[in-house]
Amino acid sequence: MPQAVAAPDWTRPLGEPGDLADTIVVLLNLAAVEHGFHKVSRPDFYSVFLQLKEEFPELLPPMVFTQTGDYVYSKALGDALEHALRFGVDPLNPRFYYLGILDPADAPNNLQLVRENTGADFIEALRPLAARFAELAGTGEVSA
Amino acid sequence: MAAVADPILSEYKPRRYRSSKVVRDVLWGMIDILPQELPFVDSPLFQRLRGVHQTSLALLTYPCAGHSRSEHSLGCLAVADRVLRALARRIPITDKDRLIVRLAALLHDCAHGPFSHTSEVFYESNPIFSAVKAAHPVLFERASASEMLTYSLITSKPFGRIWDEMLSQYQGMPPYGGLLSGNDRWLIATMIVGSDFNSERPDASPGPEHRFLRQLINGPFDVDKLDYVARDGYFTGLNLAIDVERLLWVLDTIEFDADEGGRKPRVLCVSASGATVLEQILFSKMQLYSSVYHHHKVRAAHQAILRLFTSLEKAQVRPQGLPLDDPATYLRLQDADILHACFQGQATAVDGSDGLLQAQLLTREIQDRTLPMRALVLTHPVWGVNPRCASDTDRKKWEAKMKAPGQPDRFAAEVAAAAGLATEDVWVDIPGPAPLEGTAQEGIVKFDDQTYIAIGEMFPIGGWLSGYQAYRTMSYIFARRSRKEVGRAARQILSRDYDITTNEVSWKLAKAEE
Repeated sequence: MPQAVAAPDWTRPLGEPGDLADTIVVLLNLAAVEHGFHKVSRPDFYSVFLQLKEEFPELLPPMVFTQTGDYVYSKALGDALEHALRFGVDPLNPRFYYLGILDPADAPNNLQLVRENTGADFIEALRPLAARFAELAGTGEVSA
Repeated sequence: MAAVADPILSEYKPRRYRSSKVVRDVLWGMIDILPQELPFVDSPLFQRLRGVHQTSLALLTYPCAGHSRSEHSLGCLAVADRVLRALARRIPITDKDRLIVRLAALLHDCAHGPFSHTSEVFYESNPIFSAVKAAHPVLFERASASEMLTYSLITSKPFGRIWDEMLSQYQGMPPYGGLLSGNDRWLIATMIVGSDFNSERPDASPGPEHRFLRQLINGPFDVDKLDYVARDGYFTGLNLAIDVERLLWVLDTIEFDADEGGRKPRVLCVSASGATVLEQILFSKMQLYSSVYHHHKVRAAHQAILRLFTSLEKAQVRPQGLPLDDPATYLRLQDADILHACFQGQATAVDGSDGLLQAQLLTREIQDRTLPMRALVLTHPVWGVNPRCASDTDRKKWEAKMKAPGQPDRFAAEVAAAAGLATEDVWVDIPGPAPLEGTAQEGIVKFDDQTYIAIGEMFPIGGWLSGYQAYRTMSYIFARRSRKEVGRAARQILSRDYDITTNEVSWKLAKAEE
């Protein structure tokens, strides 16, 4: 198990290195490289993060999840996803309903781009989350 | 931030009205303003909004887009009233609920600074916002900086004085007299920041059974969106299609069988036959972003204003005598205050300052509409060698590398030096993503049997929006002069130093040959 490092400074606004968008990119790409993660449906994306937030509260920023019937949503997470879709997360078929990495060969490059801005420690700190992310997304454990 | 309203409202004495007043709006027709609302419309904090353009400097491109935050706020009041009447056909809406939602709609933008969202980009990096957000994450998670300022205004003591005077003046006036309490302004402020729980004042939290009322003010298809999409479309001349009458017909609520402290949440939804209207809202938003908010001239103006704020601050110019490093300042200024700031007698006293010279140059460029022009446009087909098979790898590199510390200013300086220009003559503009996710993920479609589905599962709207975020948005490199040389230098530096390949389309889109 790599040594954990201090959590990122979440008071910085979205758009700066090490923000929640970078966290999303790292989680999905690490999960793809190391745990065979392929894709997660959009509703499950939010549900998985709700679960991760409960299990790893110190490694994720404050997020308020709104429960609407079977669905959960966090504005902070949604805003960050919109940024992440520009440089490290892809909409996937069928119907672009899923989120993932279009070409698994891209994942190491996506991680390298984040690493250049944040340093390696940022990625190392997220390894346990990536493993759990892949587990939750892969099994559909959190599906409605 | 508690003292933000002191200088604005300290001398204001609301007059007493004996009846409603009516104003005529170009979009919604006659708008009835109730006596309980008039003290706030009359107040300096609302009147200031007449001098704050709704779409900042979009009027440099769309000459009729001179509409203000004041018109928009009154429009939101009108839409809120229509929506509440429509919902009242399906569920009971009390007069008190109606008044609260109307007031929240009227006041939701009262803290917008000059040039609307552009000044917000400048002052939102003030650490006070992140500190307040960290102290009350549940209350402010959804809130923008201007919404947090609005919250501070409405919950301030000076505002409370106006509120209490309003309560006592109209105590006995039917039909709304005596319905509101002192606590309700806190509830209104909580709704405006989009929270279901006020950690500062729990008794000012919208109850779960009233969640749909909060969503009307800050939610997936709130009255703000309904007005600004229609209004910005109208005044820019874009032919946007939103069938508001249809939306009013299909708007509904749904109660979930969940237990929130013994209460069941009720949220806003549309019936299945009306889901198309939500598509219209989202596509209209996308069109507004592509055609207006992210238009190259609008973005050049946005960059000019940001640089103007920076230059004024650097030169220690104080518009209306107010410091630009204090977020409360923006509650007292109009657009014109910023455009006149560097020519005021007080400003010229800081003679010889680079900041002041830059501020004067930028102001003239804005006033004369001689803004820097496109030298390079970076959007989907430009990445890689072949525009018919654009490279996602190069697109991602651009986005990620420009997020590095010091970027994109460092890149702009490199390009300027290579083209033989001063650093301040080349600007790089990377607009943020269009905020579309919430409507897709939070919107609910209800079937006749009271079952439901998220809009994103009804049709693949999330995917469409993702495609828009990844492929439709643009980045710009602007130059004050020598556009061809700047464009050429930018492409060379991207290739040589950033390992990013661009093709000729980046050049063609910039029309730098003209």
